[in-house]
Amino acid sequence: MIMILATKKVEAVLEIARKDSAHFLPDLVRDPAKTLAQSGIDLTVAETLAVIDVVQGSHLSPYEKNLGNARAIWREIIRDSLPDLNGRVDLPEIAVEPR
Amino acid sequence: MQLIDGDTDASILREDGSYLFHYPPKFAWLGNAVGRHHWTTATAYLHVPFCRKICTFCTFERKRIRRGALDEFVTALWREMDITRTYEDFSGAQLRAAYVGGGTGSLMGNQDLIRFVGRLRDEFGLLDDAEVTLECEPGTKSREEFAELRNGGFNRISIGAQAFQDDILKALNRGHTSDGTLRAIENARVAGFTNVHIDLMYGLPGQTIDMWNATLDVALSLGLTHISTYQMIVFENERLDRVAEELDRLPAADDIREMRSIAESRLPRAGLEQYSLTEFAQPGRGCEYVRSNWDGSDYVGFGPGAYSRHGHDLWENHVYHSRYYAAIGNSERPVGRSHVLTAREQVLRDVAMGLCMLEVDLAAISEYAGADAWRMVEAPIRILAGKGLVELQGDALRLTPEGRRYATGVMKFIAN
Repeated sequence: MIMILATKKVEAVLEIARKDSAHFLPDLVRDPAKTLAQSGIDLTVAETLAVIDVVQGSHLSPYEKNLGNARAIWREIIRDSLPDLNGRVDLPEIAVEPR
Repeated sequence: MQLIDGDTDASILREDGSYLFHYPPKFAWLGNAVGRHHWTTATAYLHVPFCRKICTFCTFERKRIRRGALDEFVTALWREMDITRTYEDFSGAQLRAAYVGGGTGSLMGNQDLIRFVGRLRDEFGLLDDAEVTLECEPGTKSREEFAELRNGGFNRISIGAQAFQDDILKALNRGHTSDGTLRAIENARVAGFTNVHIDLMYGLPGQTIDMWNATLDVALSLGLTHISTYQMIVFENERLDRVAEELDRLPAADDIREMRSIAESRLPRAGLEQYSLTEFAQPGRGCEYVRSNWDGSDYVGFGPGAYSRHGHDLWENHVYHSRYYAAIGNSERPVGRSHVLTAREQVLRDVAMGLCMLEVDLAAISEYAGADAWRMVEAPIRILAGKGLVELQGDALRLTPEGRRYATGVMKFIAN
């Protein structure tokens, strides 16, 4: 249950990024840890790690097993927002290509 | 139903203006397909999901416009209309209203807008005397373009004014000034539009009661047929919620309440009757499309993120443009998520959301849902009536004046 709620929170953060492709999204791509810390969004350390994992394509979070859908959502967000992001941030390859 | 009075009051006495826009909540819409429907009376909506600038308060589906985006969108739109006609039966349809919104509806080119309305008439049953609205950002259509639209089938213009103070507009990241709004209204009128509406907002960062009165002074001097007044809603974790400087500038709750009260007093005195929680219109000039969103009507939506409803079926088009275009490219319906309402959900939805129109007809809701609406809502209604927030006369369930103040809490209490 905790893991389900945590992954829902991760997806909720991605939704915020999707709706704010002008500011929050590029900030999240550039520096997810700092952006999340400054955002005021209520996340535990593990949830924060999960968001960073999704954004950066790493695998450090204890919620790794449940992040498949979030990673797919993130790829769609990046794909949809490329016009807003191109030239503003360096997109990690993982963001646009499926594993 | 187990209720604890203190918690009940806390949950009901919400006056934040967020109302109930979806029921069930969208996270519960787990389907991704819909069946075939035989359409009769309904309305139509087109979502143009692009804007020149993103307003600070906006949580709608929109992206900043980029070169080529509109061409891609319009090409997909014609295809979506073809696909919709393939999958749905509009042979007996009578669309009584059409609305082009967004994003910014008026970013779409006139020829494409006129073609969209023409296709609705020829292929989807749009009635000759239907209300056809274009939502406009000031500065996006010239007087000549308004005239072209008037001749092309549009008969109502909705202009996003928001406020008549330029510093407020700038703080909202609006792309126009107050003068721009006034020019747009004049241009629409000179071009032949007699049904002109504006959106206004209160509870804005930096807005005072005097400023709100000044905005209403200007609005009421224009002789408009319809005015909407929306309270700024700060959704948790959305952009405004995360900008502390803006949160600090929000008016106090008492001032926001006073602003709502001022609108509800001044607009009717000026001949604009309040027919919903946020809408005021000259007699006979209420927006048919807006009504259809709240009164249990059927509506068909086109474009990414657009909603549709037919009876107990709800669906939303893909919000991801890439998925929307991919589906269209595969000649598939671009359904992102869907939900089949149970009879109970349909009743709760149509009662709770219907109260946005101030009054609902429980008998009509029962008939459409095929269920006894009163049996399903009796318990919460008795509690709300006991608190003086609703009143029931025969089959008519109404919000009281106090109930209008706490409409968000009332709607959510019924739905839960």
